[in-house]
Amino acid sequence: MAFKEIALNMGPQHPSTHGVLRLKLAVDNEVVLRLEPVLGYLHRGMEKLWENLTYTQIVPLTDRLDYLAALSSNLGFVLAVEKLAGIEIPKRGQVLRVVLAEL
Amino acid sequence: MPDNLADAPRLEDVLRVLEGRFPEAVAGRDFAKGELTIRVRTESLTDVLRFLQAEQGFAALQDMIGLDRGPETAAGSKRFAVLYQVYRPADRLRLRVAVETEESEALPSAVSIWKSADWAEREIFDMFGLRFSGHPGLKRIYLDEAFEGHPLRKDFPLGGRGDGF
Repeated sequence: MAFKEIALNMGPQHPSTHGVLRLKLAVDNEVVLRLEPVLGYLHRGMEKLWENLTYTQIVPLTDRLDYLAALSSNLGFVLAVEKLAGIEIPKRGQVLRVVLAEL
Repeated sequence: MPDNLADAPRLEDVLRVLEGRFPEAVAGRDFAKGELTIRVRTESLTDVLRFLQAEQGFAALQDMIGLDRGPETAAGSKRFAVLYQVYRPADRLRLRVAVETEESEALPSAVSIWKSADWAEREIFDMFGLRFSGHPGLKRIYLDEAFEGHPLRKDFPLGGRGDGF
């Protein structure tokens, strides 16, 4: 087949991408020559939102950072706050966290 | 979590080597809770980052963080700062390099040192409006190209501007 470069937009909505992601492709038949990802469709400005919330108000929002590992995002956030504030949590809480993060 | 740099010998070593190699580069250091931040001067930034990557084993630039102290920053000090979070896989050592800057200045891009700086610098450009000279394609990464302003600046309204975005 003769060479013919085609510009193709894949996404932002596409069944093979989990979220929304647009790929600007330059293709020659089945071969991808160049690819430029366009992202930000799920950017919700959380950092700005968090500027005006208390630490505990932020915890449920960290769930939404990664819907496949909500608890891991909780954990990352609370560990940072605890380090900042010098808080040590009870042993039972530490164990529960390990269990939840491993599941 | 030590608050004294003497209790973190590996980080102390990096700082000593850096100060020996670039006596003029280091403007200060902050050490708290086991984390070291080395403040460097803009002129030395590229040399310091390249040295850390090429000769000190800091193979990964994990993140770049923008910082805005707000429009009322005291005269004589700079309003913005950019922090480079670097990582040495060999002994799992983390280090922060900080540089102060202004909107009117362009920092040298770190893309030629770590490829991961590409998107990180675009994010800081998007959110804070800071520019990086030598970046291969500095444009907004998350927000729409038609968006005006830089939302992580302290003077950007928290409730938005009601302009359709």
